Amino acid sequence: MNKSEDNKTYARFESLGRAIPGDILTTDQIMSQLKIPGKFKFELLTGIKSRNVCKPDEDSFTLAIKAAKDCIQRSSLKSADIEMIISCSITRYTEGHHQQYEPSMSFVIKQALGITDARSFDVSNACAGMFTGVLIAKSLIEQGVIKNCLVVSGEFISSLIHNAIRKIKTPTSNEFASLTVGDAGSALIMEATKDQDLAIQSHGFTSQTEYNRLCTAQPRPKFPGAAMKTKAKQIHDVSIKNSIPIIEEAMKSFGIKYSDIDFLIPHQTSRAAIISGAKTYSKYFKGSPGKILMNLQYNGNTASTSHFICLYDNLMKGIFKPDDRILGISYASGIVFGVIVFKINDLIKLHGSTNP
Amino acid sequence: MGAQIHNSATVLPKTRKLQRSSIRLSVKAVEDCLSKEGLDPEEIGIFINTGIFRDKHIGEPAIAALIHGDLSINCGSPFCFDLNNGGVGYINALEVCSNLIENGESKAGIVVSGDAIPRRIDRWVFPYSPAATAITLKKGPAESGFIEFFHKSFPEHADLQTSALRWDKPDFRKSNRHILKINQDKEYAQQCFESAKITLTEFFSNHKLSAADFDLLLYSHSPKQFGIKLKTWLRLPKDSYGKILDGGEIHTAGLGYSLSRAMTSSKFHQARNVLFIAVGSGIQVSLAWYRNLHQHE
Repeated sequence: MNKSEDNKTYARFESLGRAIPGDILTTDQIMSQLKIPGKFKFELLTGIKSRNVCKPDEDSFTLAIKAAKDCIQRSSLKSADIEMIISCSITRYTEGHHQQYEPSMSFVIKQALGITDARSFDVSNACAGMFTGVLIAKSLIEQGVIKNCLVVSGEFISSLIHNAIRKIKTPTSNEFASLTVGDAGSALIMEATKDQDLAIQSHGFTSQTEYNRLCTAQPRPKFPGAAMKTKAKQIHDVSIKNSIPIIEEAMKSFGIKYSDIDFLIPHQTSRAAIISGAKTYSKYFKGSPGKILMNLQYNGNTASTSHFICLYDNLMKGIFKPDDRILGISYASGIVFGVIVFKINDLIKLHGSTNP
Repeated sequence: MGAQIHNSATVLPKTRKLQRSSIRLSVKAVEDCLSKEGLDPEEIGIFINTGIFRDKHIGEPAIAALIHGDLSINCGSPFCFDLNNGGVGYINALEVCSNLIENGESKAGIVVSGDAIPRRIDRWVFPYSPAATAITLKKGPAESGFIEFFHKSFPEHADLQTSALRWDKPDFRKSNRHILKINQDKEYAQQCFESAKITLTEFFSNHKLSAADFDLLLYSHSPKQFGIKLKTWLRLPKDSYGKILDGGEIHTAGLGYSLSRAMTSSKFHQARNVLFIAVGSGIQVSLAWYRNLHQHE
């Protein structure tokens, strides 16, 4: 254990959980419903073959609970030990498509889990929701306010697909990005540690709000759920270009090089966008991380849960070694940027990996 | 100790245009708050919105990003996000903002909270007075600022105050619509008071204090009767909380409104120990103990 010299407290990831809803919607099924002329190679462009979507009895709340239970079951902590719950989803659907305002989603999650003594609140920050929860929990743990925190998100976001199908008439529609989404739940437990080697590092959390209307979502009148309008090309270009100095500063503050990263987990948007972004980073930093992780093929873009669903999937595949360093980059509508770096360490044991 | 309060400003709409936009109201509150000298807006690295009832029920981006983007003042590129937790979200956000400042994530931060009529159709069911409040926090001397935050929840009363945008069939239509439903049981104010009493008693007991040890007590405007009951129990003077507006109570901006009034009247600056008391759906009660550093200290 690398104890910090000044007895400083750090935050680490202690456990990770996931919830996958019960239905599958393929890209072929979506494309067959679109009324656009010609063949559109959506699957080739996005890398998404299918995504998991909620069954009629599933929603943001049920996904959050399922993910939280999976996370707690893998954790060395008991439910009663949890001191804080932060719910981070964009969608807060309960009982189908009722968007919950009060009590907060975190409060109803807390009740359902029977964790009566934990403090709770919701954060909402588009697809950067869980990263925002991680930053807040990390700060509260480092300052000794809490010893641990459950950061959870249930995203029932597939109504965007059905509402987009109704509206899309041309391949240039601003609702095309809505077809990439999928439903999922994710939860993680963070806890205090004195071991610097286990610490989560964060840097560059910022919002460049001059671009705040490049991607917006609100309820679709006359239909359940929401509609999202995205200027996909613009938001991609700005995200990649403006994240370079943020990553550069982050690497500098962490005392590492971009090429020291073993695995890069970007926000899971589309294969073409991720590959193009990775190429731009590699060219600028004159090096590459060991591997760029994508799990789009059978998940799609699961909004605020996407980084941690990707991490979970790859933990299950057993691809990591304990010393592997992960770089997570968040860009979300707002436009929100944030960088976290951590080593896999004990997470590997929770998912039964035999990788030495 | 936590960050220091630099300024607070509250805006109550005079026009219908402002009544129907929590974003416009919040922008005005932030601009008023930043007009006070002594804080460089570029130093603000944290920007949190805690309002619940927002323009058109927007889901993304965060309303904080939309408010920040509409400011006429150059306020850098802070990290913007929404933090929601009913009536106690404002205190949760003060704690998070203060903590992020203490942890070196930023030199200063803003918490803004605004509620307005989300859509024209919601005007019939929206029971609150539209309002927005903003507060600026900055790093200050170690002896001052937020000393402690204390929270308790009473889930047995979770059904007494609920709000949601429900996908339901309105009485006058054949098909479903997104309907704003806000329900407040007649028992809610009494239970908020009972819950606050338990929370305050435990807090005072933990610190061997009483209400008399605090020079200023600021508390939630919602529910309407809560302040009156609390004031009677604590034997507080008549002007110890902000005026309840005609037409409805102020929701998430209520506590900030009381703070703005106390700052304008100098009562806040004269007080050494200030106690913020917030109640909200759940029922949740949150307290914040703030200490002013007086110039002679």
